[in-house]
Amino acid sequence: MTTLRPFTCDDMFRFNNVNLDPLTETYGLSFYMQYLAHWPEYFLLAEAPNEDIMGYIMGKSEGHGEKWHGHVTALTVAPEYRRLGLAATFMSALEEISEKKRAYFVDLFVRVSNKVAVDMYKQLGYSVYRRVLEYYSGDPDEDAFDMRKALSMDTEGKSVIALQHPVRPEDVE
Amino acid sequence: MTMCYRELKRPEMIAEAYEKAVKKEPGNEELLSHLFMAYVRCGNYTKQQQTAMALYKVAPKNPYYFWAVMSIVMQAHMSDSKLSCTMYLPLAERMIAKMVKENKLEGEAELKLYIMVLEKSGKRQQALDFVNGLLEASFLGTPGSRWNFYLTKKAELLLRMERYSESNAIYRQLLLDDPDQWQYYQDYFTSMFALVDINWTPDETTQSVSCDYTVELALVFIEQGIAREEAKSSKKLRGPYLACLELLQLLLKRNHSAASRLASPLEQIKQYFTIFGDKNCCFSDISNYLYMLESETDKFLADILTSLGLNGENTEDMLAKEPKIMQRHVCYLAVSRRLGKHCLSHQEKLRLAEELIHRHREGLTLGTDLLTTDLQYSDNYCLLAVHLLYDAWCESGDQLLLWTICALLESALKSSPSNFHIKLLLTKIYSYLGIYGPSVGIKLELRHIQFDTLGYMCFHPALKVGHYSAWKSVLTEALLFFSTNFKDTSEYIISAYKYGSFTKVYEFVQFRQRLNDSLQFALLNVEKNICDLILETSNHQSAEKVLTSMDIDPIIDECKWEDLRDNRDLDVMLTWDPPHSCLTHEQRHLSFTEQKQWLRLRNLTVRALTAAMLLPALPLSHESTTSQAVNGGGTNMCDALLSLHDQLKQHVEELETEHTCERRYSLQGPFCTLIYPFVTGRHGALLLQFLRVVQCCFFLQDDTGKLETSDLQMLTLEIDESMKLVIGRVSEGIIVEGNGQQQFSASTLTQAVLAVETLSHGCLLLGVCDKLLQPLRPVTGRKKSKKKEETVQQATQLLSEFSSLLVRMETFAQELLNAVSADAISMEMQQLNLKTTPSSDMIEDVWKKAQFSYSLSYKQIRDVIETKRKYLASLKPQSSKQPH
Repeated sequence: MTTLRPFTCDDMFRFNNVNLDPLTETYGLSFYMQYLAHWPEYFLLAEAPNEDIMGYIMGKSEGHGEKWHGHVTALTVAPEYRRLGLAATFMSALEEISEKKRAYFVDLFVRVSNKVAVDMYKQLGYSVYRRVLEYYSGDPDEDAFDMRKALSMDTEGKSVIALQHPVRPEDVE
Repeated sequence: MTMCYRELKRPEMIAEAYEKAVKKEPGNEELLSHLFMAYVRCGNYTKQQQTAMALYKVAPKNPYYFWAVMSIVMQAHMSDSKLSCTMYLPLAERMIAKMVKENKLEGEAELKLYIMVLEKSGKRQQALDFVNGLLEASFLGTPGSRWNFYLTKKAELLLRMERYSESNAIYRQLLLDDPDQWQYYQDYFTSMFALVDINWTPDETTQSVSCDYTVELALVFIEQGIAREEAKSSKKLRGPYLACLELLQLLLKRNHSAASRLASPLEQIKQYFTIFGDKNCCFSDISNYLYMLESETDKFLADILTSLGLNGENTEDMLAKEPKIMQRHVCYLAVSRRLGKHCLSHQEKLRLAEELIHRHREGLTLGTDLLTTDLQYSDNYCLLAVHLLYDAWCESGDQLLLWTICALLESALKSSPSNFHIKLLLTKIYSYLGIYGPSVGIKLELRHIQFDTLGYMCFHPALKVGHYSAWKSVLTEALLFFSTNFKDTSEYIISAYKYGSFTKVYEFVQFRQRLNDSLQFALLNVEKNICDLILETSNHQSAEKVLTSMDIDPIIDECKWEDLRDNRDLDVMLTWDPPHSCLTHEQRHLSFTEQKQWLRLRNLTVRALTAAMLLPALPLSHESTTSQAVNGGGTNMCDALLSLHDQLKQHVEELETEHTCERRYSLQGPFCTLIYPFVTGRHGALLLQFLRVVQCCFFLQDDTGKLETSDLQMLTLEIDESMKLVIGRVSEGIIVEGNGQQQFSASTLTQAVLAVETLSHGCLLLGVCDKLLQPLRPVTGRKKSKKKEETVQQATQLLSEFSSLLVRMETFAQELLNAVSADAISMEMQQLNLKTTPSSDMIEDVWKKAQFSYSLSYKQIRDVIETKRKYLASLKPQSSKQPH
């Protein structure tokens, strides 16, 4: 029970119930506005009947040729609205839009320790494409999985053939 | 250069630079495009439009053409509706229509812009025709999905055109495709009831439209939706069930007999609880429908409690053995609270709270595998217990309850360090106890826009307890966010043009404005000024420097009172209260008004201080050749000071009448301001008296005959009285007798903070007087020979009167210092020995934190007083100062 709609600037005044969660970063305005200006179709929000913000997804499309793809920048669901399948809904939305844009695949980065998320993405058809060393800075730094799912443009599934060796963050395009 | 001007916040200079460049090379596409962007930064829509058209002539590309169109649309947004309808919108429409005719529209953004312009002009039919003429594939989002802009736009337009049957048919179809989209249900019901109201029936032309034009049809539709969910074994959608509840509510509101054909509220809500009770959101889903239970409320609660099987006599049986059951039980408790079942007697509240605390602790054993970033399953037991104890405190005033709450929350936070609801509540309750949460480890970690929406959790609480360094740093950090906002957001308005996200242009402009008009922003600015005046001034030179650097115009009030926006997020904290106890619209409004009153108090104070400082220390009339200009300024500033004094006086009087008791908003609501302690502590009166001293000295130094030295004498007596009252409040002690026990008095602490502020303002104003009186001082060699004996005598009298005022002020500072001395405070704190209380173990940690916070408060308060004593010492007449 959700209203899915485009994210708007005014939502930033009331997304605290989502963003106070420790795994969700609150970025500077420019970060959100950059996405809103460039990829508004990829920035979606779910609203509960009582107008609470349940969660949101931010994404973009980038790359050339067979590397033209959709990317999930942030996906977050407020604690109160977890276990409702909202993340899957958001992901399918982002995939749909990427299909429409004739992207070859969708990718995302996730902390290797975030088992819940990694498992969820696997269930949604994503697989680990490569491991990125010390992608998340912190104490200590943490590796990321670069996970991918091929879209229908990539008929042979070339984009998701896993790399054998991990890469450094600077090698990630 | 652009970057430089941008940093300087002078966007108009960027435009000027490019204007010159374009003049030299009028056909240069790149320069023109930069010029366009420069105008976007300034918000000069007319010039934007002209530049975009010039660009289009140089390089006939679609984006440039649409930049021009969008610039016209922005003029329509910003001008009055008449001009917008007769000029801008028709122009924008014609410009796009031309492109449509020539079949030159490219891309979704341009299509959407056309629809937007048509809608804004009220031409819905044309908008609809235009959408109908397009292919579904023109828009991102696949057919038959929730991203279907094509269908939703059509349905929305039809609904607004009151073509209900067609609109309803589309929503019906959309719901079949996506039965969980709440907005569709609402529009489906709206259009259905509209059809019922006009007795619509299909005729030959509309027979093919499959819409629900009677309540009966809607009942079937909704019931079928539920049947489809029931047939699923798992992952049932909430939508169809909630839609059924919504339909029932709408029918009951209309007194429609068909309501009885649906399952009763009791059955429906029970069913909902059975299916979704283990979801965290179950409570908020059903909370607004619970009132429909009416006389069946008790039966409902009894039934769901029985279904949980947690009612066993023996303690083992009453505990939930798995998280899902626990979640259901928490939901049951939340629902009972919402239904008013927590309005119990004092003892019953305590008993229930104790049971919940037990359940919370035991429940932690189910969550031992959880990560530190997860919330514990049983956290809400604790929060519910806290809400009960808080209710009990509100009624009884027993402060031990607050200490218990803090102890509970601290211990819950240890097991569930990511639970921000615990942190928010702790910050709140600590503040009631005179403790500033963030100083004792409760980190809210506010970032960026959260300073605007949640900053209220820090700004006042820090000031209220005199944690000056924390106050200053949070003010500084928050201001940094606001000061970069305008510059940053402007860059993204440019981006929106670049990427053709036209719908975002207006949205960004509005957003930038909303941040700029933020009440918090206005408050922060003036609070930061006051903060600097208190902390950064140890003598009059530094005070002058600080005040000058603020660049405040005392005469013109720069605050746009009418435009102020309340951007605080007052819904972030959880509540399960009955509707009447939740934060109401009236309370929100009341708090906003109170904040504005506080802002006005601060605004007038700072402006009055500035006006006083700007009074020239020169005679008003005669002699000096340059005096003409200075005199004019002097008289103006003197008038300004008088006027500000009067405004402040009136404002303080109004506040006194209105704030006769301390406001308390509901627990999840905002904090109150310091208005109440300010008016009851006589700080306004004392500040006004100091301002009058300045006026007195200003007139007397020049011997205009308007006032006499005796006026200053009278004033000194009044000041003495006020000081006694202020000191009286501060000396009441931090431990007071209340409710038959020793209690910590946070209000005494706040009185000390306010007294320090008044002392600080007083020093500054006496500094001004000191400067005003300088010419009268009998400095050797400079003494004016022409002066009559009488004048000299008067001057001596005046100076001696001022000296005694300075002495009184020093005593005031000394008395304040005594009242907050380290020894006195620690002695007092020992009196409040919480170790003897029943739940002493738990409370001991909290008491340690409290002692730390209180000591910090008094330490920082003392530091400020010491600085002010230095200030006062520096004002003593030359003769008593150290020789060079």
